[in-house]
Amino acid sequence: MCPTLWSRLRRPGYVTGCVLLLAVVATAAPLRFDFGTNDSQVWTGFTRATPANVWASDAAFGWRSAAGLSAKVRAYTAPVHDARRGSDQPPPMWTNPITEDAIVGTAENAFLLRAPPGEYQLYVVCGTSDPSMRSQFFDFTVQVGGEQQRVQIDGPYQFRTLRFRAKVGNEPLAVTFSPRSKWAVNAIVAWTGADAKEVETGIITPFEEWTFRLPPVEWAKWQLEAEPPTGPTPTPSAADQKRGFVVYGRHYLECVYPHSRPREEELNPELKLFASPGEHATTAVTVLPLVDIAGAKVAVSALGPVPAKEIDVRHVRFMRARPNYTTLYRYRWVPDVLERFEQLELKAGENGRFWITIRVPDDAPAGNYRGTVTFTCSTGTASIPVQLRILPIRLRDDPEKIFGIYYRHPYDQMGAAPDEVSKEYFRRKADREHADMVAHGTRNVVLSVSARPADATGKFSFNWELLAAKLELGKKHGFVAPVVLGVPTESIYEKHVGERPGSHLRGVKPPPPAFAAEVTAMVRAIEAERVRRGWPEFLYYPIDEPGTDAASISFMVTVLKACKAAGIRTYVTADPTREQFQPLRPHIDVWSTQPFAPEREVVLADSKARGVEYWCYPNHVNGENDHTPVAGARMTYGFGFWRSGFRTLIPWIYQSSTGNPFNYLDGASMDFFNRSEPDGTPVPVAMWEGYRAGYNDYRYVYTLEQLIAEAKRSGKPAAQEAAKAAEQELRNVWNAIRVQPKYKYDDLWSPEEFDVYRWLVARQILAIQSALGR
Amino acid sequence: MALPAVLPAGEAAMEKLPLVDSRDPKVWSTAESTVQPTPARTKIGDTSWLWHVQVDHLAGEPKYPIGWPRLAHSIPAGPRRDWSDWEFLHLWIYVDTPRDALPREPAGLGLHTPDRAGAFNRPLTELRKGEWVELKLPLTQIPRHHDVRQIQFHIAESNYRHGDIVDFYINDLALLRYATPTLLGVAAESAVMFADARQIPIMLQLAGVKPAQHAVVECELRRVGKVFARTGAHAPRGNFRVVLAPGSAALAPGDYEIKARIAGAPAITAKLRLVESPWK
Repeated sequence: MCPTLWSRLRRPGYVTGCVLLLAVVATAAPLRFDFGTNDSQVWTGFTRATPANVWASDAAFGWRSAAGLSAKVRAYTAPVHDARRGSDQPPPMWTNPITEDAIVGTAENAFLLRAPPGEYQLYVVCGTSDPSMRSQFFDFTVQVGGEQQRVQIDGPYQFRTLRFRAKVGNEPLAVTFSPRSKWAVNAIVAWTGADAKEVETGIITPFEEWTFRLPPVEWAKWQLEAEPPTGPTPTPSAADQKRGFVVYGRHYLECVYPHSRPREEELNPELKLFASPGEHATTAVTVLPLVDIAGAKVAVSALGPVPAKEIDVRHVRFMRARPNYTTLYRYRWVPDVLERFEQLELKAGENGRFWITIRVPDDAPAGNYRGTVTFTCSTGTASIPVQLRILPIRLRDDPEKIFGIYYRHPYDQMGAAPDEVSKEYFRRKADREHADMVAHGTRNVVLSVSARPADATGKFSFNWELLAAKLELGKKHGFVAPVVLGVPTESIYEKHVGERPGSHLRGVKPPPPAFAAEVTAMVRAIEAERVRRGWPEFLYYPIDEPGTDAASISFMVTVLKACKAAGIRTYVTADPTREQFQPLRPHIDVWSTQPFAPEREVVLADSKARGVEYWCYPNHVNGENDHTPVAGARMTYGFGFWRSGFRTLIPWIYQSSTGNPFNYLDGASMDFFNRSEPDGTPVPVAMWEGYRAGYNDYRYVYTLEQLIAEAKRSGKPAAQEAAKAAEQELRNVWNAIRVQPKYKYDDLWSPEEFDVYRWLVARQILAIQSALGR
Repeated sequence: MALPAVLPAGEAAMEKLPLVDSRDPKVWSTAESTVQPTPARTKIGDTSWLWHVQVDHLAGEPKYPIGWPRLAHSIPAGPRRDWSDWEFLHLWIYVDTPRDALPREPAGLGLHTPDRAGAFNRPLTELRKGEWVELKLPLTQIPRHHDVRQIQFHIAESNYRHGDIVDFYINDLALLRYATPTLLGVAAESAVMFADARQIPIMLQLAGVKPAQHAVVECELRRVGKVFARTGAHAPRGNFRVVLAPGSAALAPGDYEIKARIAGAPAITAKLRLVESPWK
C-alpha cells in the first residue's frame, strides 16, 4: 500500500478519500517502475521490474540486455537485534518498497520504456539497502536523451534522486546507466505535465520524506525541541525591507539557529580578523531573509596577499539532531555541516549563515588589508567590509603535544572493495581526510590490526600490508608517533572462553591462563614485525572502555600484565580518578580519559614520577551527544589544553555514520562529526573548525613561551624586559582561564574573549620579536 | 561571563516555600537505599532527611548490579509543580561516610520537568565529606521549571567501592525568592575587549522582580571617576543583557569599571579591560 495512504488510513475520517485516490492511481499511466525481484515489495501504483525484463519489440518496458544485472534486496521494517549491546535497536535505515531493493549492473545498460509521444519529466532513484555492499563505491552516469548526470554513492543506505526532461517521439524512452564501477537503480517515474502535480505530491514528496527523513509511523514518534531563546527582532531599516533581508555579524563560535534573531549591535557588520602566515582564520556572516529569497550567492574579494581562491565560503546547514548519541524520538535543528554551495534558496524568517575561512599564504607579508564580502540574491545586494591584519609571526608546533583522533580508516574498506574504482575511491578518501586532518592540526590517528587467534602451531596471521599502508599514508602526511594500536584481544578471549566478553566487558569471565600467554605472544609477534619494518612505537590498546565491576577490573589486570610482558607500553581508556581503576594503575602507561581529570598538578607529578602519560578524548565536543559546543571545542583544544597538563587530545571520532550520513535520526545512533562529499572530499562541521581555532590558540601560546625562553637567553636587556612583560601577560591569560574538566558551554569565555586573549599573546610575540631584532 | 552558579546569601529579605514539609518518610520513594527523618544533624529547623546508602556492587536490579541508589519525592499535582514564581531551588546537604573523601561526583540531582525524558540533571560535585554544603540553584538554569513533577537524588555506584556507606543529610529543601528587586550580579559579557568596540554588552542578574514587571537599572562605564557611557534599562527577573555605547570617541586602552545599581540600592561593580585593537 502507498505509505501516504497507509498513514492516512490509520487516522479516522480518511477512508473515503483514500479509496478515491486509489482509484486515481489505478487508472494512471503505468510509467512508474519499482526495481527489484519477483518477491520484493512494490510501491503502490508502480510496475515491478526485474533483471528478467528484457526489452523486446512488443514489450512495454525492459532492459536492453540482461548481461551483468542482479537484484539486491534487504528490507528493514522492524528493529534489529544488537548482540553486543544485548538489545533490539532501530535498523540502519527504514526501507520502503522502493528502497528495499535495487537492480545493480556491472556494464552499460539501458532501461527502455514505451510512452506516448510528448514532453516528459523523469525521476530516477539510485542506491541500495544491501549491507553486503558496504565496500562498494557506486560511480556511474545516468543519461536521458542528451542529458547526463553523474552519481557517486559510498556503500549502502544512501540514495540519490535525479530529475531529467525528455522528449519522446516514436522511439522508446531510454534511461542509460554507464558504470565506472557499478550502478544501482531503485525506481524510475516518467510523467507528462498533466500528471505533474499528482506525481509530486502523491509520489515524490511522501517517498522523499520516508527515505530522507523517516517513514510516517516512525516520524510520528519524534518530537521537535525548541531552539534556544532569542531576543526580539530589531526593526529592519527601510533599506533592509526594500532588499528583503537583514545582514548581521555574530561570532562564528556562537551558534546561529534557524530562528535566532540579530542583536541591534550586530546589524550591518564589519568583519575583522587577524592571523599569521600559514594560518586559517574564520569569520561568519548571517542573512535573515524578510521574504523568500532565490539565487543567494556569496563572494569574497581578495584580501591583500590572500587571493579570493584561498577564501572558502560555505553554507551552515541546519540538521535534525538527537540530543544524545542513542536517544530516540527527540530532535532539534542545529547548525552543523559546512557545505559548499553555488547558490541557495532561503526561506523568509530562517537564517542563512555563511562560514568564511581564509587561508593566509605562508609567504604573505604583514599588513592590514581590506576587502569585501558580497551577498547577492533575487531581491538585492549587500556589501560587508572585511579587514584582515596579517601578523609577522611564524607559529610553531609543540613537539611534546599530540593532536590525534580516532578514525575509521577507509583502507579497511579498500581492502574489501570489489573493483579498482572502489579501491581508488577509498584510497582517495583516506588521502583527502589525512590532508584535512593536517590542515586542522591533527597528525595522529588510532589504528588497529586484525588477526585470528594463534593456530595450532602458535602462529598468528596478521594483515601486515594493510597496517603498513595505513602507516605509510600517515608518514606521507607527516603524522607523529606513538600510534595507538587496537589489538584483537576479544578474538583470543573468544577462542579460550567460547564467547565474546560483551560491550565494555559487561559479560566477562575469568579466562584460563593460556589466554594471557596467547595475548603476550600476540603482542610479541606485533612488536617483532614493528621493529623489523622500522615502524613507530605502538601503544597497545587491548580493550576499549572497560567497566568498573570487579570482574572487568580483574580481567583488565590480566590483559595488561600479559601485554606488558612483551615489553611494550599500554593505552587504556578509563577515568584515572575512579577508585575502581586503581588496581590497573601499575599496568597503564597511557591513561586516556574524557575529561581533563585529574587536575594539572596531579598529572604533572605522576608523569614526572612514573613516566605515565595522560591523554584526553573529549567526546563532549565531538558531536556524539551535541553538535553545538563550538566554543567549548576551541577552549578544549587551545587554552584549556594548555592549562590541563595533558599531553594529547584524541577525540572519538573523525567521522561516525550510521545509515544515511546526512540523516541523524536513522539508525541506532546519531551520525556526527565530519561528513563527506560524494567523491570522498571531507565536509567539515563547525566543531571541527573550533578544533582548528583552539589548535592555533595553542600554537600562539607555545610560540610565545619559546620566544620568552629565547629572549631570556639572549643577553639583550630589551629582550629580557620584553620577556618579563610577556610572562606577566601570559600569567594574566592563564589566570583568566576558568578551569573545568569538560569545556562545553557553561562558564566559558565569550566568543570575542577568545580573540582578545589570543591577541594579547600575539602582541607579546611581536614585542619580543622586535626586541630580539627579528 | 561568569555569574556565580551558587549565589552568596544576601542581606535582602527572602521568601521561602518548603518543598517537603511532612516528616512522613512515605513522601519519599527509595531504591537500593533508605530514608528517615532525623534530628541528629540539621542546619535549619529541627529535622533533616537522612538518606542512607550502602553501596552494593552485587545486588540491586538484576540487569544492573552496579546501579543507581536513589531517593525521589513526587510532587502532587497542583501549584507546587509550578516554580515559575520562584527564583532558586535551595537545600543544605551534609555527607558522612567512613571513606577518606567523596568521589568526584558524589551524587546527582534530577528534576522531572515534567518527566524522565525531559529531566534536568546536575551532578552535585560541590558536596564534601563532613561539611554542610548549601546549594542555591537559579531556576533560570532549569528548563521547564513551570512543571516539576519529581525531585530525585541519586548516586552512581560505579563511583564508589563495593561496601561503601554514605549518609546524606538533606535539610531545608525549599524554593526561594527575593522579596524586593535585587541586583545579584553584573559583568561585562567579555571581560577583555578591543578598545575600538563601539558597544559593550553587559549582563545583569536580577531577582525579586515579579513576573511581567521590571526594575530600573542604571549602568555606567567608568574609569578613574570619569563616566564614558551610561544607560538605563527596564530589566526583568533573571539574566538581562544591556549594551553600553561609549559614543564615537575612541576609548583608551586600560582597566575600566562597570557600575550598576537599582535606584535606592547600593551599586555593584565589575571589571573590564580594554586592549589596543589589532586594526587601529
